[in-house]
Amino acid sequence: MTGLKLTDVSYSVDGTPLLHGISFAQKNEGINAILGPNGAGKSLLLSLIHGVIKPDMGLVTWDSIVAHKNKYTRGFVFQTPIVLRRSVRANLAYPLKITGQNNSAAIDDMLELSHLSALADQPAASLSGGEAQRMAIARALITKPAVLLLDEPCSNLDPASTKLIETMINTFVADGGNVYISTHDLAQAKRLANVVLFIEAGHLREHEPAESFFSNPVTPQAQAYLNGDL
Amino acid sequence: MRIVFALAMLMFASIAQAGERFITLASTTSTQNSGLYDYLLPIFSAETGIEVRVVAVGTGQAIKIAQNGDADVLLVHHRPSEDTFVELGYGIERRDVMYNDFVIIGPQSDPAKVSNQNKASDGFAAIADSTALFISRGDESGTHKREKELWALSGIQPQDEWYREIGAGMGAALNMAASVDAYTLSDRGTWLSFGNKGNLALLLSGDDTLFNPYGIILVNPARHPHVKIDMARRFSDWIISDAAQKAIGAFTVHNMQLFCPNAHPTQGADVICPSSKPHD
Amino acid sequence: MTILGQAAELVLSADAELIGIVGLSLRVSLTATLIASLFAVPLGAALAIWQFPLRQILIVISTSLMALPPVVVGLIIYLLLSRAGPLGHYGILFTPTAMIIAQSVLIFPIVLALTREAILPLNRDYKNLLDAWDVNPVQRLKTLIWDARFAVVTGLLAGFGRALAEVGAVIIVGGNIAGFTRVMTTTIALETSKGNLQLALALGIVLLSIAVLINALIHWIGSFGRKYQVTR
Repeated sequence: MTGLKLTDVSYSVDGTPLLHGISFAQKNEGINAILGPNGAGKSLLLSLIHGVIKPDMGLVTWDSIVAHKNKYTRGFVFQTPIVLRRSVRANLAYPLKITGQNNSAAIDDMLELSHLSALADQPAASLSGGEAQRMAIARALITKPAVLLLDEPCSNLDPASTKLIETMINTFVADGGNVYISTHDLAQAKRLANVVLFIEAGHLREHEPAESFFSNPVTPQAQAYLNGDL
Repeated sequence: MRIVFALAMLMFASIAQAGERFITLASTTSTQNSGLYDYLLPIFSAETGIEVRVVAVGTGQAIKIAQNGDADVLLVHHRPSEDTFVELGYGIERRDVMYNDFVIIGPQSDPAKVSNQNKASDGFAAIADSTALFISRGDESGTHKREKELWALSGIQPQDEWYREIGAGMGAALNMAASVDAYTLSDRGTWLSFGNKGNLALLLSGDDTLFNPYGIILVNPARHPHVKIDMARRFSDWIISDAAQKAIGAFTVHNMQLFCPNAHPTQGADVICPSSKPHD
Repeated sequence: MTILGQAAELVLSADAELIGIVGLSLRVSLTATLIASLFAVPLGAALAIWQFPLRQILIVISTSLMALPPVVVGLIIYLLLSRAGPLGHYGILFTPTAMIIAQSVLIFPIVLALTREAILPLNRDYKNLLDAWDVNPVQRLKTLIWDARFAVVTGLLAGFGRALAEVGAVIIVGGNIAGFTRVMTTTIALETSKGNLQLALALGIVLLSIAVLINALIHWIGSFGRKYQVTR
């Protein structure tokens, strides 16, 4: 089975277990939303899926390759955008530079996609939250990864920015990309998700198509969560 | 990368100068500060094309530098140390060059009445009796060693509060003496050209025990094969030559002669030396 | 004549000897700063970025070395470069090269510590992003040093200032030879020892003015660069 596979993955910090024996397999398609209450372990799971951190026990593989060995093939977007102290254009150029590529056409395309062409030569530090996040997504996409991971990308943004960002995500998926996104925003999850992974207290409680999760959650924890009780 | 290359050029530019014709002379700050070298050495360089690089430090440090082979020739003014230097095999061909003298300096008001004395050791005794402030260089320089010898002559071991050992050069000692109105022992050259005399005055001079002879010694090539013995010997030969000796005698500060050439003592009659007598 | 007046006269007279002395001061201290930085900047950045064994010890040692008395450094270098010492056969003692070496050693800990201070906050910001891209160590160093360059240059200037102002090291390894290894600070020391206090102070003012000019120049270059944002 091609795609992402987690086998019995556990992770602890300072002796405290945060993720317990998570296993699932997922084909490379569409948008996978990771949902769950605060502290459930969503960000941790995203980082493990990306490969930037390694599990204490168990295995994370992409198409049978251990995740941390080819992490640079997957884009990551943080909740608060990390901005290089350079111009917007230079930020977008950076991932190309470090892989030895030089593609100004791609940079211009990304500037258009993120609606930042007018701000291309501004210092990136002067961007608003929404603009910076769009830049971060464009920057993550410029090396044409197959997978994009986003950790609550719109939690601090206004509806207009959120809409623009969701458009960028949908465009990426339409071009064949695979997305893993964690979010608190149930409305956003309903808009975007094809598949839902529900985490609670470090356990994977549910893993099913989105419509079925929202209409008919199986576990009591999921039900409580959707009711706003968790 | 270009920056690194430019850096290398900067550094090697100075190493390249090492190939020029020069010798290194280790001498004392008092000799340098008198201005003698600025006046005398260009004459030698013009004649021979040899540059003389003077490293002027305290007597002890100058001897150490010569001992290490970091100089080609040594010119200092403390006979016992010079003799030891030659005896231990570090130097060869020691020659007399010139002499000047030490003077006792103190406040014009002269509370210890030093100027009433004729002998330097009596002057020191007077200072000890009055417990007037005395600044000692305390740095094992030629001046400091002479000062200790004078205390020994006076039979006094100075150790109370009025005796201040500062561990520094002649200039620093005079600066301090000027600022606290203290007595001190100085070489005449530094005193004459000193720019910060304040209330100080020359109170005692001319005593035999204040005689200060200078000697030139070549660093022994048997010990340090790399020394430029030929050029160094040429300098030594030159400095005892009639022309150089005459030039030394002609050197004045504030119209006063500072040094008396004595490489050839029998010819000393030609040169008038104030307040010092020729010695063997 | 007032001291300021004497200082002005020194500058305006364009005395050849003074120009030589100023030129040598700048050459020695600038070269020493560049050489020290070549090693101290990457090393300081590495200290900020990575955990490695002995890191804490290195940090304590380097911060303490900032208080190293120049005369001690000079003495150690003298013992190394003396003919009686291990590196004597190069004949570097009592040359400007020896002075450059001594000053490089002297300012290395300063640039090291200040570079580390400059890189630490930036590394905290960038770490997650650079980790996600799996940036290799050399790229990480280059990225952080470049983006923190204004703070790093401030560290370089501090090192340069320390070099320009010190006298203890250069006087021992250089020998204060007239016309060859005499710099501004050793000249001031010399004139002071001759009791020519006014001249010494006037020279001090000249030295200070040069330091101010250089700092102003670097500052101007910096704000110029910030204005026309370099988009690398």
